[in-house]
Amino acid sequence: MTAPHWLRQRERSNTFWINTIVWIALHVGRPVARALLYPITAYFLAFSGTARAASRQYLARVLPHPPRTRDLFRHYHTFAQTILDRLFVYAGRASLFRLDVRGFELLEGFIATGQPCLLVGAHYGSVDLLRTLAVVDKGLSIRALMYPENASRIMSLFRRINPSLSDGIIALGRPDTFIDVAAFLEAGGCVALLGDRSMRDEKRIACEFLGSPAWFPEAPARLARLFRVPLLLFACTHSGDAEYAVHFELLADFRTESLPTNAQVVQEYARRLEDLCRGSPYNWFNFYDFWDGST
Amino acid sequence: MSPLELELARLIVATLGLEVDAESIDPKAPLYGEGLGLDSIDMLELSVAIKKSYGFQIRSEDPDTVRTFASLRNLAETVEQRRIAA
Repeated sequence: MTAPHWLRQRERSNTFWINTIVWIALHVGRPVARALLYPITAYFLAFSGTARAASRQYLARVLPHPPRTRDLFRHYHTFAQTILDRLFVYAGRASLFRLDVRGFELLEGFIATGQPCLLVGAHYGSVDLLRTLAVVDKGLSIRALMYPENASRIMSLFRRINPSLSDGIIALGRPDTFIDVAAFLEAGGCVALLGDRSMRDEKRIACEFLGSPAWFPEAPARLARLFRVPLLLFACTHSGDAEYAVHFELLADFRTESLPTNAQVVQEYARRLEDLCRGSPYNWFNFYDFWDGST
Repeated sequence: MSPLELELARLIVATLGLEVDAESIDPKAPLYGEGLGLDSIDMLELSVAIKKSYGFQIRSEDPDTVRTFASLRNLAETVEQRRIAA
């Protein structure tokens, strides 16, 4: 069993720079830290060949014009901004951000009535910002299914800042991963997972995505079907300096009689993700060859 | 294959819609990954079916869970023990 690219790819994080910017961000301020993101972005853009090729390939599909260096820079820079903003949220400074929230009443309604549901997001925008606000600050009963080993260096740093980050995470990739998901959903909880990165050893579906087929995991549809719960799409788009647009929408409801097939549900997820990418191209954070059929 | 192993093999085949004969499953072969080729959501479906049929919940905090799912034989042993204990 070989791990796919995105799991093998070590985060290109220079410990010195990370520690420096964390210190500046928390002790000097966000504007100075944000100014530092420009040279840092330039550095990563210059020294990350594979990721840059992936960024260019993605942008060529989504932008109306051939991508230029400044488009790639903006893509990297958006990613850097969301990572910096996570730091402030983890450090308890969520009030710095303005959130434009849509469709939250959908989720709140389910939680209020004890209706379990499944939330599916993507490596798009700031999942962690949303998770921190919903789970840590609002105390909503949501668990996240995640690969624990990915991005370990930056995550261990974030955990130092906010030890409660590991709360409510169910680690993926073990035979018994999903057993507790059952108990949690049956008790009326919500489970969130990301539906865009697929593993070779899991069931997956080839979906039309930004012009050609790409693999998407079947897991969100399988889980929602197994527990007969509503499947919601969520996204938190970085939309300006300290602004994020959060939205929730119903993707499929497995409580009904006429059930869609898993392929239909996953294709619909890919279609809506495509809409998000076309609307905010620089929020897509899969810096590897997403259309590579072999992974 | 013991009667309980066969019963569980049939449960696995029926629950997951596998295209194999229950009788042909090697009781010592791994269920997860190589072997039967089940993934973690299959394991979840299986644990839900076991709860329905045998009335006990397999939980991941149980230290034996990985061992339980290692093979049909181990699964049968766990079902045997938990059934008596319940």
